[in-house]
Amino acid sequence: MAAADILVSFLLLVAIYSILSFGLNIKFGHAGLLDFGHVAFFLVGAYAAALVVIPPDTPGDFTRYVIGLGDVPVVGTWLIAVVVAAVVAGVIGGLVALPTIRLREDYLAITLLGVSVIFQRVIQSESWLANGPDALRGYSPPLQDLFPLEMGLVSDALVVGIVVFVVWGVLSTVVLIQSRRSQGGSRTIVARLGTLGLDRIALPGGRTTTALLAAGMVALASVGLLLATGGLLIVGAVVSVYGWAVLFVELYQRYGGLPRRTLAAGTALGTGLLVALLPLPLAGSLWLQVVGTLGLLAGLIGVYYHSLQRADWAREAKLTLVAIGGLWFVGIWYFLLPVLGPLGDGDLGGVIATLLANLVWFVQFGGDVGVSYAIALVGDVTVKLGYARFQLALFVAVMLAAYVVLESAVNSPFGRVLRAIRNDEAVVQSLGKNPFVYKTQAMIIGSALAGVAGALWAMYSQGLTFRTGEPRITFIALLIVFIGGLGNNRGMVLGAAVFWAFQQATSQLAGYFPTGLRENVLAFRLVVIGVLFLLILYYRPEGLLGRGRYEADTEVDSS
Amino acid sequence: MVAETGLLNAVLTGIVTGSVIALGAIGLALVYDIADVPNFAHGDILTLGAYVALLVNVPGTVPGFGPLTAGPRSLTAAGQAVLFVLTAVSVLAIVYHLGGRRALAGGWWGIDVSPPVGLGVHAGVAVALGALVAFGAPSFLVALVFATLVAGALIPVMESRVFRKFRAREASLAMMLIVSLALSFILRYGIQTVFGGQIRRYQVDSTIPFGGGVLDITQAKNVDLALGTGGLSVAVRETGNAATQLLALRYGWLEILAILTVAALIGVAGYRRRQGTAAVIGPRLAASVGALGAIGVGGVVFAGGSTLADPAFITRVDSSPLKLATIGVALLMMTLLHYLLRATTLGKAMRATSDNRDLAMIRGINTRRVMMSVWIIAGLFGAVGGVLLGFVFANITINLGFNLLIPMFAGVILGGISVYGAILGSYIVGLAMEVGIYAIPGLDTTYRMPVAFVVLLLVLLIKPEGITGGN
Repeated sequence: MAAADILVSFLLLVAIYSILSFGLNIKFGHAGLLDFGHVAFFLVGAYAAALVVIPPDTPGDFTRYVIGLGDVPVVGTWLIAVVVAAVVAGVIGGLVALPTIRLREDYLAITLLGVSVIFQRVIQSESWLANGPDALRGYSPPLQDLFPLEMGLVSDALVVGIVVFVVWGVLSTVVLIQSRRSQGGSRTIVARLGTLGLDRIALPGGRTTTALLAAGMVALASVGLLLATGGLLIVGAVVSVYGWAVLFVELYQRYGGLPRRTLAAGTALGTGLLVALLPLPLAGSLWLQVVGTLGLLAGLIGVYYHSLQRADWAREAKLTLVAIGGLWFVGIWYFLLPVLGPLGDGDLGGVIATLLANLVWFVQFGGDVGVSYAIALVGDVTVKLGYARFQLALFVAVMLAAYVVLESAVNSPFGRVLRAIRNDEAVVQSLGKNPFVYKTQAMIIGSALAGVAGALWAMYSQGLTFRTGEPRITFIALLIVFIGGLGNNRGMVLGAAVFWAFQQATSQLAGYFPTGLRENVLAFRLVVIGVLFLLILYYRPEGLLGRGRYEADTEVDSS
Repeated sequence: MVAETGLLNAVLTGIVTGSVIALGAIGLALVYDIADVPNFAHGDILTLGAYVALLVNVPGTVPGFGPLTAGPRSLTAAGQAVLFVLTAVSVLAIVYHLGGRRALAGGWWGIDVSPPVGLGVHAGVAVALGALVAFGAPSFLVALVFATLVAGALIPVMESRVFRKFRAREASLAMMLIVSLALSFILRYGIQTVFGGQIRRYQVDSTIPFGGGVLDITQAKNVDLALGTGGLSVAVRETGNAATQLLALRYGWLEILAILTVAALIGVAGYRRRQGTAAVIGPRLAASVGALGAIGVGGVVFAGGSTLADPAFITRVDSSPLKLATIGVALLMMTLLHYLLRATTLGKAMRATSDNRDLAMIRGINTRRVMMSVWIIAGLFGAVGGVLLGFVFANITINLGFNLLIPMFAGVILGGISVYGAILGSYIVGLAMEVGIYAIPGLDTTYRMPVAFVVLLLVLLIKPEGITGGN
């Protein structure tokens, strides 16, 4: 798998878990409800969605489940399924809230944990409900039967156009929002090009409309191009280049102004991490692998702490150093490491092919089906828009929709009351507002979001078991909430990205261990996550991005 | 009439389950009460105990221990040495937790001792227990002792390294909950890192000499109780192909009446004698022990040797002696705890701290030592509970203890957050679980835990202070 494909599947998981964490953020970060059973609604949403889109159960085969509206024309589609998932999860969240919301924090946590375990047990034991302890399979994600795409068909070209629209829209929104902060410079150039010059016009709805309009125009152009010439690689190249431009502009603006030594130290940290991981692929015996890597990692962490003690500038920038080091490491992993293989073989064509596959991340290289090109020095390449990229566009669109809705809810008077309840319930009650009602509403919204995340998970994993609802997932969501910052919705996305980056990295590393030990290594990963969680709780409970700051909260002392 | 397992069997199973839950709930209640931590990691303490016992019971199956074993159940000399060192270090660590080097020199005893004597006694106990474990392996009981000591040494680290730091920061209750959840995952997946995910089992020596012959203690026995016009009869049979009758007892109705009357009289007499004392054996304990003792003696004295010919009602109880022994082990541990709480200085300090921590500190009680001892007890009892749980349910997985977390919380909250309340609540929850599964038709055995949860929910909605709580 090309590094670009790994990146796509990483982003898919980030999207799903961001939505899940949005839900927990509303419950805990805003309303102060410690829901240790959050995964119950994730599970309910996933199964509700799957049971709606799955074709009806044929008696006599080895599976048994209820509902199964897959054959019904409008009702059995994914759109309805996601809505059903959200509604069912929200309703169950409300029902669960009714008797339990008045409980003290610890009793609430225990009770909700119990609820989630019971849901899991029910799915596991009641074999008539959703195929019992076995997996529920047999449904396919939305529009998957259109894939692999033929560039000549209008419907397929439209699908590519939709993906282009979403990607271009997101990139343009990001660069436009940031370009408000700094006038002129590289950001404005990229913004101007990306929005096709539209950013000079003031449109109603502001930057979002500009971005969407520009994205729409680019998407239509791509559809036309595809129908006319079938030039998927060109479309992919243009979108990919725009993506890189936005990314580099952002990185430059954020880190370019830092002093040389900070950049150098961060880069050294990232390189050190790479060196520390070298024993894993290179060492012969298991003991050497474990001892070597752990020893080098310990040395790296020791050097980091030592420099924090010695140098003031390092202490002030301690998180920035880690961020730079991490980004540097990801850069090496993405660009350099995949090329090492063909480079070692002296295969120049292979080197260029790999680089091309990772640079033009928008399309998937390889395989038999797709549009073929003959490229100089490389030979024949086949490109296609893999289903994963379409799914990513879909998930990102849903995530952004959820984000927008949540931000508006949180900045509204409703959000203000929630935060007031979290601070002091008695005060809110004395002002005449019933905290019980608000808490229940927060529970419903948070659970509905978890249900949507569950539906997306059903799409992604194409098969559900009762293990989909393990308490571990609540724990991960809680971790993401704390990494990002309580109450901070943007932090949820960052937290999910940090967590899944760690997961992907360690999954790849686990591949270097003998197969029998893989389970142990993956378990160790969770131990490390637990320890890191404790460290975050102790040293930085406000998270990476800090607690959410809301427009409605600022008390302006008139000057 | 054919004997079939019925309500009485479910009740007995409920008492066994309740005993295991009680062992865990005691630690949970103590920590909840005195350290103010609702410890979500408590289930994993049980799991830790269960897995550590594997090191002694079936050392050959433990990953990484291979070079130190000479077969699935036998150790090399090096392996024995390792176990010896681990046990001795654990004993010393437990004492160290109670107050550092001064505790090792005898500082935590209620009396004044010179340091060499204290050190000597501690070292002697450590060596003795170490030798017991090293040479007693792979016996199941020795494994139990080993697991208990190791857990007692490791678990207080949770307090000294984690909870104390958060408490110093005045962390909120929600934060402590999340911290305990994180510790739960660290513990559980730490165990999985070492042991992997496969299901494991104990191997228990199944025969002991009994009454001239050999008794299989792990095989279930059928105990048939019959009631009829002639009285009550108890018949004990082996299961399986042998199906030999081991024991038959018969009591006429007059005999039963006599025994019960004497037992009641002794109970009342014991209560009267002990009323007003605050000794270890208080009035209620004296009454119940006296009554039960009288019943036992009467049962032995009046036993006839046959079974009823024509019973009106017959029921069967199906259990192995070892499973019944778990009730005995649990009762023994509870008795020791009762003695500790009532008769020792440390116990008195614990009760004082539980009532009012600030007052206890003013009074000069070393609350830090009380905290650590509470965690040590949580570790000890949790490990015993975990090993017994692993034995009773036969499958040791990493979720073993976590599956019992809800029932333990149910027991603690039902009984009120105190030691005696937790014991009472746990037995009620255990009975509810087993009798509920038996009584409600169509309920699969995997729904045991949901039944406990329903109990918990009812308690929280009706009377959250529990049975013994509420001021």
